[in-house]
Parts: sequence; C-alpha cells; structure tokens
Amino acid sequence: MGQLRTGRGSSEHDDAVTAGDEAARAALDALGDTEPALVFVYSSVRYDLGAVLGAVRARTGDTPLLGGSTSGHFHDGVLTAPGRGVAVMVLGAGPYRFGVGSATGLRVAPNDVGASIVRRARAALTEPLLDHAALVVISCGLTGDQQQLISGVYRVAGAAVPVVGGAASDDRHMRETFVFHDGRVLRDAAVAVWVDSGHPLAVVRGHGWRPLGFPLPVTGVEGMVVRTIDGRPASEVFLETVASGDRASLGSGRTAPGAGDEPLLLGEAGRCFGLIEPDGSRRIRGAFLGPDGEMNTWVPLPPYSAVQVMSCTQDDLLDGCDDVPLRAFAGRTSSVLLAFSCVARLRILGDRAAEEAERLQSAAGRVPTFGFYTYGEFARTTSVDGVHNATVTALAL
Amino acid sequence: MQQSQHSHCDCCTGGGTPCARAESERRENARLRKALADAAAHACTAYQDNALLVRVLSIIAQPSTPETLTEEVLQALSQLYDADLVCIARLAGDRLVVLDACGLPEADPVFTKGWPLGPTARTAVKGVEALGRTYSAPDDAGDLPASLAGLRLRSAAWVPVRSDAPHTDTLLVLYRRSDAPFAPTQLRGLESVAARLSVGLAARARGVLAERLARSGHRLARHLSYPSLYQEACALLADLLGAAVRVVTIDGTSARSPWSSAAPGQAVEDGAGEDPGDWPRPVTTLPGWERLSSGRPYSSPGCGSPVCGRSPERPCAVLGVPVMNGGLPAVLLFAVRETTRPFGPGEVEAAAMFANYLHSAMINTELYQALKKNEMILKHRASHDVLTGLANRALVNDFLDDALARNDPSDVGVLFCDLDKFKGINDRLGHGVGDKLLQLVADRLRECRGPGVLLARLGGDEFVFVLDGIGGTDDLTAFGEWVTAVMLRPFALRGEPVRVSLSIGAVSGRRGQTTSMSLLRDADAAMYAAKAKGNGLVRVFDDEAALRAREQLAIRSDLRLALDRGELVVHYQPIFELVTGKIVAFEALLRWHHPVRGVIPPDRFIPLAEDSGDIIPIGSWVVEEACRHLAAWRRLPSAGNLSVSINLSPHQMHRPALAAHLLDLVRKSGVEPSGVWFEITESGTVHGPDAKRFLATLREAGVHISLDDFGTSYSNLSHLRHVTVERLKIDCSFVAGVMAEGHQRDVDRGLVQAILAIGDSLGLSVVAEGIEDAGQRVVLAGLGCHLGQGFLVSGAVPPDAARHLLVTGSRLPHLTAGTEGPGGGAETRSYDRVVTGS
Repeated sequence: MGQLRTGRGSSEHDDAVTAGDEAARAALDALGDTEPALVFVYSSVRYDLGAVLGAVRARTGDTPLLGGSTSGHFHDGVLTAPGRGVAVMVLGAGPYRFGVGSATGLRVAPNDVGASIVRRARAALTEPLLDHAALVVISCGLTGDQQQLISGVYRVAGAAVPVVGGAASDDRHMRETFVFHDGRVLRDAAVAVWVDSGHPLAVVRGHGWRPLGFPLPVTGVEGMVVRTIDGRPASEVFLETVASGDRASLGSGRTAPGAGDEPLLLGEAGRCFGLIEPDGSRRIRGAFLGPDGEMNTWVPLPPYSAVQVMSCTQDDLLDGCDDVPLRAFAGRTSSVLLAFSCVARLRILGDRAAEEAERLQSAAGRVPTFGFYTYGEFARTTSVDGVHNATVTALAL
Repeated sequence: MQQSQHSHCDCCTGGGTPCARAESERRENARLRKALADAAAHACTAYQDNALLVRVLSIIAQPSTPETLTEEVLQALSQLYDADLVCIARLAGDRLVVLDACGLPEADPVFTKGWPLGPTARTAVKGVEALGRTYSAPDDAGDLPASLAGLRLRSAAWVPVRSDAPHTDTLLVLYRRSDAPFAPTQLRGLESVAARLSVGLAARARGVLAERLARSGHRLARHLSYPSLYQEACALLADLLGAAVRVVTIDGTSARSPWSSAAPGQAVEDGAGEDPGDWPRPVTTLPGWERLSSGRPYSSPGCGSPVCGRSPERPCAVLGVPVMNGGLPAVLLFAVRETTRPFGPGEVEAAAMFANYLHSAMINTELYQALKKNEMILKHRASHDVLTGLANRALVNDFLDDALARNDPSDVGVLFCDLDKFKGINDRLGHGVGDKLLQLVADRLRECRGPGVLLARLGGDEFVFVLDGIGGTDDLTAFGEWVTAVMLRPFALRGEPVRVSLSIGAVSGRRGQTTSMSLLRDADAAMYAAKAKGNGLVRVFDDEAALRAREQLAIRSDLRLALDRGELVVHYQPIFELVTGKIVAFEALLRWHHPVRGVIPPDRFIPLAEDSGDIIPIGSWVVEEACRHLAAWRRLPSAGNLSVSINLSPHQMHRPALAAHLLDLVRKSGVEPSGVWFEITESGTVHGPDAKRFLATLREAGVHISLDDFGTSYSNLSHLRHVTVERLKIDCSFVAGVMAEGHQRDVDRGLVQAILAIGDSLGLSVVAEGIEDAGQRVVLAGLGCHLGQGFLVSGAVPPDAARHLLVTGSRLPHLTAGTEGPGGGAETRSYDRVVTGS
C-alpha cells in the first residue's frame, strides 16, 4: 500500500472512439506499471458517449469507471473548453479502496437514489471498511432535487463521510446530461465512488463571492421560485440591491428582466444569492430571472432563511479558489486534487476562463489537478447541506 | 462596498501624505464599515433564530406522514444549526436508542442497541429544559455513543421532547464537531421546536391511526364467527397500535383469553410470562377492571399481570378498552407495549374507536349466528322427521342421490322396514301410544347406525336404512337380520313389555345405474313380499324379484283408481237347487278389467286391496251393485225370493261401524236384508270382538251369514259354535273327489256326508261348490245336499247374462233318484273368491 499514483490524459479528437482511446492511452501511459483501480472519464456531449466509454474500457478493461458529461474540464492546469474533448484519469489503489455504485430514477426519487448509490458503492468494496471514507458523487445535472440526492447519501453514509462531486453538464446546452458507470451511459441517474481510507479525508470549497447590502429573509418561496424577499417581490429587491451596490450592469446588455424569451442568468452577470450559514459564511445559490420576471434559483432556498445578494469580479473568483488546494491537502502529502467548478464561473471569467485551472494547479503545486465544470457542485462537510453554486469544491487524495 | 482603501482626496497629490480631512474620512469610513458588518451579523443571527421556528412551523404545517415530518425537521435542524448529527432517541431501560436520525450511518448500532444513558441525558429526561454541553475530545462526560467517537463530536444540545406523561423518555439531540456551544437562545428555540414536533407528530400519529382504523376497521365486519372475529381484532389492533394485543371475554365474574397477537414484527414469545393456568381468572384481577367495567379505557404502566404476558421485571405499558353490551363489558381489549411510556391519548382514542368497530361486528356476528342457527333448525326440520328426529324422505333422497352419483366400486343398499301390526296397535291403544312406540322403535334402530349408514322414517310405520358402500346382497341380508335381532327385545309401553317386529325389504343398487326412486320403490316392494311371508322377516330382492314386485306395486297403484275409472265389475254365479235345477240365488264375484293388463284375477288384486285399505270402498261398492241387481231381478217372474251372496273380507269385519253402512246400502237398494247373504271364510279373525259385533249387527238386521270353504281350515266346528252361521259351503275340492276313483272317492264322499250331517244337525243349509258335471250333481243330491254352485249351470257371468239365466232357467233336468248327468265346465274355486277374507 504505497503512494497513490494517477495518470491523466485528454483528447479533443473529433472522433469519439479516437478521443476516448487517446485520452485513456495517455492516462495509462502516465500511470506506468501501476495496476489501475479506478477510472474517471469526463466528456463533452458532442461525442457518442457510448463510443467514448467503449474506447476507454477497451484500454482500462474492467477497472471500475465513473464520470459524466461536462461543460469543459481540466487537468494539470489545462482547460479543455466546453464542447471540445474527453479527459481520463486512471488511479492506482494506493492507500485507498474504491467501490462504485449507481442508480437511476433521480427525477422521481432523488433521496432514494442517493441512498442506493452509497449502498451499492460500499457493497462493491471487497475488503472490510477502513476507519475513514469520502464519497465522490456525480449526478445528472438537469434532473431531480440535488439536495435531496445528497440527503439520501447522508442518510446512509452519515456525518462521518464527507461528500464531494458535481452535477454533470452538457456544454451549456441545458438539454440533457449523463453519468457514466463502467461501460454504461446513464440518464436520470447518479454514480458514486466510495473512497475508503485509513486517514480522514477533507472536502473543501471556495468561491470568492462577496455580499452586497444587508441580509434579508426569504419570505416567500415555492420550490425553485423565490416569490418574496423581506416581504417584497424578490426580483425587485434583487435589482434594487444590485443598483445600490457597485452600480455595475447585470451584463449581457440586458439590465431588466423580461426583455426577451431567454432567461437572464444572473450568475453569468456576476450576481447571485448567498445563503447565510450558521457559521456566518455564505453558500452560493445561482439564480436567473425568467422571461416573466420570476426569480428562480437552481437549488431551492429554504423558507425564512437569511440571504444576501452576492457579487463578484473575475479576480474575486480567481482569488476565491487560491486556497482550495491547500485546505484540501490538510497538511498531508496528496497525490491528486479532484476539483469541481461551476459552469457559471467559467462564463463569468470569460476570456480568462483558462486561468482558474491554472490558478488551481498553481496553488496545488506538484499535486496534479483533475476536474470538470458542473451544473452544481457538491461539498457536504457539516450538516446535511451539500449543494453549492458558482463554487469550487475539492477533495485531495 | 467596493470602495478602495487607498483612495485620495482631491486636494492631495499622488504619493504624498493624506491631508487631515482625508484621514478623517477614512476613519469615518472604517467606522461605518464596522457598524455595517456588525449590523449584518446581528441581522444574520436574528434571521437565523427566526428562520428556525418559522421553517419548522412551515414544515409541520405541510401535510405529511410522521416519518416525512421527522425527516424534514431533522434535516432543517441539521442545516440551521450546522449540526453534524441530529437524532431523536428514546429511553429503553438504561439506554438511549435512536429512533430517527440525520447524519447517522444507517447501520449504526445506536439504532438497535442504543448506548448507555449518560449524565446529561439522564438530567434531560427528568426535566423540561434543553441542556447545552461541550465536550473535550474524546468525550469526557460519558454522554456520547462509542460508535460515534470517530466523529470527534464537541458540542451537543439535549432537548426533552415533551409528551403527556409526567416524564419524557424521548430526547432530541444535536451534535456538532465544532466546539461552538449551543447558545441559550438556540436552546430555547430547540425546546420550542421539540414541543411543536411532538405535537405535530402526535397529530399525525392520530391522523395515521384514524386512517388505518378507517382502512382496517371495516374488515371486522366480514367475520361471521366469534373466533375469527376476535383473532382478526387482535391482529388489526396490534398493527394499529404497534403493540401486543389480547382479547379477553367476560362471562359474569370470569375472564377468558383464548386470543392474542404479538406486536408487529415480533415473534410470539414462547410462553414468556404466560401460564396456561392463568386463564380463566376472576375479572377483579384484571388490570384496570374498575374503570373498564364502567365502560372507561384504562392506560397505565404494566403490572406484571398475565394480561401483560410478560415477566414483572420487564417494563411495559398496558392499555385496556372495553366493548360494552347492555351496560356491562362483554369483551376487553388489552394492548401491551414494551416501554414505560403509557399509551398516548390519541392511541387511547383510536383503541376506543376500534372497540366500537368490534362492538358493531359482534352484533353482526350475533345476528348472523342466530340466523344461521335458525336456518339450521329450518334445514333440520326440512330434512328430518319431527316425531323421531330421524332423517325424512327428502334427506333420504338427497343422501341416495349423492351416494349413487359417487364413483365407487361398492354398491348402495336400501332396507325398507315396516312395523308389523302397527295399525292394530294404533287402533287399539290410540295414536299417542302409537307415536310413542314409533319413537322407541326409532331409538332402537339407532343402535344399528354407523358410518355410511343413514336411518330415516318415511312416514307412518315405515323406516329406511341406506347403506352407502356394501359388497352385495349378503351384506344386506346380514344387516337386515341384525335389525330384526335388535327388535326382538320388548319395548316398554305404558309400563308393559310389548313385542313388535319389522318386515324388511332390501335391495342394492349400482352407482350410476339406478336412481334413488327406483331403490326405494323396489325396497318397498321387497318389504311387501317379506310381509306376505309372515312377520319379522327379511326379504332381499334380486333384480328379477324386484321387477315382479314393481309390477305388484303398479297393480296396487292402479287398483286405487280402478273403481273411479269403472274398470271393476261384478259378475254373478248362480246357486241352484240340485234336484230341480232352479236358480235360487247368485254369488256376487268381483272382476277387474285392466285397460292394459287385461283381466286380473281376484286372488292377485284382492290381497293388495286389503293391504292398502282399498277393500273398504270396493267392498261397499260391491254390496251396492249386488243389491241393485238383486232388486231388479226380483221383479222378474218367479224370482221374488231370489237372494244374493256377497263375500266379506276380514278387514271389513274389523270395522264394526262398517256393518251399519253396508246395511244402509242394502236398504237403499230396496232389498230386504234377509235377501242378502254375506259369506265369510274360516279364520281366526272372526273370533275377534270387532268381527263379532260386525256380524251381530248384520244378523240382527236379518242378513244371513254363510261360512265359505267349510272343511278346508282348522277349528271349523269351533266357528260354528261362536258365529251365527246359517249356511255352509262345501269346498269344491271335496266336491271334485266324490266322483274320483277308489279310496279317495270314499274319503271325500264321507267328508261331504259329515258336513251335511253337521248342517242337518244344526239346522244349516249346505251349498256344494264347484259342481262341474251331472254326476257330481246326482251324487251330492243323493247324499242329501240341496243346493249347488258350479259350471254345471254357469260360471260367473255379467249381470245381463245372469238375468238371462233367470229368465231361461238353468235348463237342468229335474232329478229323480239315480239320475246320472253329463260332465260340466271347469270353474276354479279361487276365481270365485270375491270380496273374501284371506
């Protein structure tokens, strides 16, 4: 049981099989003589995903595999932009043991799917459990209540097992996302790997967003729709707060809701909600204004919770992820940093999109990084809450 | 607040020292920033505390199951208090067991085994206030489960969940890995949440109970017997309350409990705390009897009573509800749960409602049972004989139909039993005694019942055995002999021993090839055959005998209708003076012209008429006919003294009242009674008192009595002494012998002479029957016989022919001494025995 070794490879070849094959071959080559124990695959939806997986599995054989469709991914400080390619990471076991499980039915029963993937992943372990563990969860990003998925995970795994991961995306098409389990491309599903460990594993997060104005209570909420904040229409309060802050434009040339048929993605304009947590920190909740002026969030805001309108600049975001690797390492010698960032961050960063991957890798030093851009990031550390937006979450192995 | 901390005022140049005004503005700016941050922090705290209650209240307000409510509240607490672990734990003995949790791995042993009650928990369950506590790592207070040591929990809130009980046994516990203590305001908030959660859960539990009750209560109504009703009640209430349930039935001062059900998910403990000797027991020893007997529910910690079914040292709670009937408890329902926490008001209410359901179901059951009993009585009545309790004809038919329809190689036997001389007993001793005798006979015959044997009474004195599964007629014979054997023992009737016998006819039938009707009919026929042979006999019919018997029965049946159909006619045979040949009388002889079978001889149908009783109307009709013809013939020249002879049956003579009726018929015809002779035959019956009264009535009216077939039976001289007879008829067998050869001729002539001598000495006229030729006429006349009857003159002829004979005369030559005549025709004696006794 030595040091964890990993090998990473990527390809932007137009042919799915070739792309999968190239990425897998590069990853295996980098792994060298180490026996593969786990495979991560991140891919653009531009490919025939079954063909991609087939090509990867042709290289990695029966090694347990998980992954998902992305809106761009990165490894070793290099970004593969949305709609471009495939990334593969192969891990030897090192000091860890891996068990992968998946389940479908996320839209109807997210809590049960969460519970099932934990049970199945744990059951896939062939040896007795070690003292510590973490779960890496990848779910389909446009279906189901992601917090309920994490609650289901929490119900079975308990507080001692931190959760990291993200919701699969689809090159920002917002049509359909997929997760991968071994050779299967799954819809309406989630997949998880139980990482069994002899030492504690730390899940961390960072975002760089800053609050605008006063905390305000969410006084009316129906699922994803925020009706009122502090007793007033939510969109009115939001726009008023933005206007009294840095007076910056909401971007995209659209400063008012209802100006077109497309929703106005506030996150991409550098605006969102910050859900105030018991420790005073803010959990980022992305929001958008519908054509009818309704304020929507990607994850439901708890009723009567306190929120603040949040704002950021590109530098804020880049600064916000600088300490993520070090906190994830938690003073240990790590072999890889699994990172999950938000597609909204990529949009906000615009021309500087590649800098986030570079900054992460720079902060990680010689520890390689591997991650993708999600439709929601998972980081459950304390309490049941584990879903974030516009945030970078990470686990170091 | 994106203001730069290094901004310069307009009066300052870049790189120089800020002026005092600018410095003042910066300080003011910093102060404002801090004030704003503090205000934001206070706002956060305020919102957070408010959010907690509002959010929990909104969750409680949503419709949900108790399970969903608990899960959502625990998740909200986890989020709002940044708690790594939130759970609801219940006291079980000296341990805390987790009921629900958010943050515990699902297989953690605290769900099943719990952990020892620590000092903080011990304090919390005794009070009503939430307790906050921080811990060094590892736990220095002994409060935390060992299985959670890896979480390195540092802070906890212990919140009692209030209930209706004086002390709670349930705690809401929040744990944090951070060492941030729960603030007093948070603890107060948690107390409030726990209280509302408790109320919300209780309300939902009541709702769930009501729903389950509504779903399951009606299932009781489907039971129509008490055992299944009580068993289902046990199972339903156990499921409803999550407790072991026992049904106790109350009978006066005694309580019984044959029905119980374990709590859902628990196997029945083998006799745990249960002793078969515990039941029945006095009602006063039941827990809560005083309340229950007055119709009120009883809820309490367990008492070690057998009702609890547990050993006293195991803590439990007991709930009892009564099912009242007429102001008294008829049934008690006891629910027992392994906890010191008494059943809550919602559960008591649900159990009481359940008791109402049970009461309704019991009424249904009672009504059904009464109806069923009534139906059974009706069904029994429809299929059984009221007098003896035996099966009746309908049941025999059903039993036979079923037996014959079954596929089995064995045969089915039927024994038709008829009491001998029962009519006589009935007539002599009355119907009451007759009925009593039938009951005694039924009881006696019951001794012969066994598996596959049905005993029935078809009516009157007819009994039937049906044997389902016999090997052959030998079995029938053996069974019949057994039956006759048991009948040998005398019956005690009015304190007197009475002996009666059965005539038994038996037949067997092959399954699938015969019918119940055929078997009963053939057995009936066999019985008549047996009876014809004597009393107390068994006659088993084979197929041929059965066929013959069936014909007899058919004739018997047709005979009943023959009179109405005009198939019966009276023929007349002349009685003439032997010397002159003059016809002085006619003997009326009955004939039956069957439309299909032709002429049926009297010796075949008369016994049947006597058996069936049809002899009475037929005999009266013959009298009426004969007298009507006599009256007509007497109007002919030289026939003024003509008389008619009519045969009487002993069955007629057993009815003294019939004599007057016959006399009426005679008189109505216009004939003097003295013109009528009734012929009786020699038998013991004429000595009976009824026959004597019958004959006396006739004699007193002037009717003459003639003794038929004289010399062929026993004690004939005795008859002459006891019966007022005025004429003897010499049997034709003697007449035939007077012309025989050798010694026989001498014997028969001697007998005829003796009869003539008796008649002469007693002043009786004598008629010689069966005179067939002139020689017999000459010899008989020579011996001193004056009257004769036979084919020499005529056989029995229809009325018109008889009238013709009267007009033309017998055409016999007048005899002188030594006259020898020609031979005559053959008229069998038996043909002439019309309306005669057996």
